[in-house]
Amino acid sequence: MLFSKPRYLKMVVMMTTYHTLKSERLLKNSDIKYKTIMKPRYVSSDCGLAITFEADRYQEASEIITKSMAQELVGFFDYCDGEWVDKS
Amino acid sequence: MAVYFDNAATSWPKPEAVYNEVLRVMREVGANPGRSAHQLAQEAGRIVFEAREAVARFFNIENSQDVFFTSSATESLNLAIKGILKPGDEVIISALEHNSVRRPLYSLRSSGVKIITVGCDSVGRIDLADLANAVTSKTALIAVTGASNVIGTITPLKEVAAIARRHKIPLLVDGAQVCGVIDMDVEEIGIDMLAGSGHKGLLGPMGTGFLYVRPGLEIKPLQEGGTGSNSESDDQPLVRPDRYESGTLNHPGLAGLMAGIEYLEEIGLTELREKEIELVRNLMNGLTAFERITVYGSPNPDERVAVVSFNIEGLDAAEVGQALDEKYDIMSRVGLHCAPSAHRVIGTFPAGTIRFSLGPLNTEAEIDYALGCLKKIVED
Repeated sequence: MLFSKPRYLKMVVMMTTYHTLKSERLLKNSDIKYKTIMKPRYVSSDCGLAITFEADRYQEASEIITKSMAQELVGFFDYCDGEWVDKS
Repeated sequence: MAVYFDNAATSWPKPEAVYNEVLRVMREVGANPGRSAHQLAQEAGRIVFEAREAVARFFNIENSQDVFFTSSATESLNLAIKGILKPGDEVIISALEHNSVRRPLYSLRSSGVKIITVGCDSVGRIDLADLANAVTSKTALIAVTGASNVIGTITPLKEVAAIARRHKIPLLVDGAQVCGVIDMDVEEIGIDMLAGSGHKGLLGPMGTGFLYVRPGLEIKPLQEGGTGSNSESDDQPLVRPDRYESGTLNHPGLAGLMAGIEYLEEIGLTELREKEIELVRNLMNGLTAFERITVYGSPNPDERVAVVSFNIEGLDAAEVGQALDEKYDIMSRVGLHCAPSAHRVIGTFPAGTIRFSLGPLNTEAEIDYALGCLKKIVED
């Protein structure tokens, strides 16, 4: 681990930059705190970006993202023991 | 007084915000959108995202992922035409089409695509009965211009779309002369594919264009390559918009395009259109007052975009254009305007016409000046 624990412990990965930035927009509009980051390479080979967000608002975030972009969702990840794990 | 009457080729001048945004993004957000993931690249990606949202909003496109950015309306038309037609298909076009529709189609004839051109009257009104009668079981596409770039005649798109829908045939609209000029609500009109230019009515910079393809309508990409997504695969991603956007996008240009759209939204298309109609009315009234001048297309300015083609009896169009340019600083376009078929409709092939194409920043004073200059040319 090069860095300290991330600020937000849930992460969403989408297939494209477009869908990632659309997710970012949805989170912004819903007032969920988030941070757009470079997606760790071990997570997936899709778009180079991912969005981390407040873990305790996962349900709400999941609903607003999958409502319009279920097919373009790669997955939701949890930060556990120093790495991101697919829990979706 | 220098007068620019060549807005159908490209609009100029642009709103100040367009220049400012292109320069700002080149200077301050010069990273690659959608490739790297550092903060500047993220910002560049957001510019592309916002521009896509702006295009979708402007044309009432429900989901902006159905908007694909291109370098021009020509590229958009090539993508649509070559992406949907297969050997043995038939395509119906109007007689007013630009070479950006005709040439991609003619290139497909060797692979067995058959082109059927429907007629129109002498001022360019498409024959809807002829269009309906041209449909066969092999018809795979109807492609029409939104308005003629030669005589300005506006195509009755709702009526054309109704015929297309009735026969379940996709409708492609060449929006080069209508996007940013008349209301182009893709849902209300019933457009399946809209090819638009960014640098004409939308007031953006050159090198920008887009293609809208309605959800569920599958077309092949025109090219494959890097998309910044699914990079481990040798196959082109299937997801929109990446499927159709290989290579680095022109995000400074798209920032300018977004500024152009915001300018149009701020003033309102209705107001701009009313102003253009008034300018066209005054120009046409002035031109038709000269006995030696023939004006082509509909006499009703409401039926046309701000494109007016004319000739002066006994004078070559290019000589008139040269005189207007050299002596009077009036910039027009002469010739066939890349639409030979439209010139056949109005009987001006192959000599062509002098075309004045106006934009939202032209003025009544410029119309009066041009008419005064033409009076001198006519009386010479």
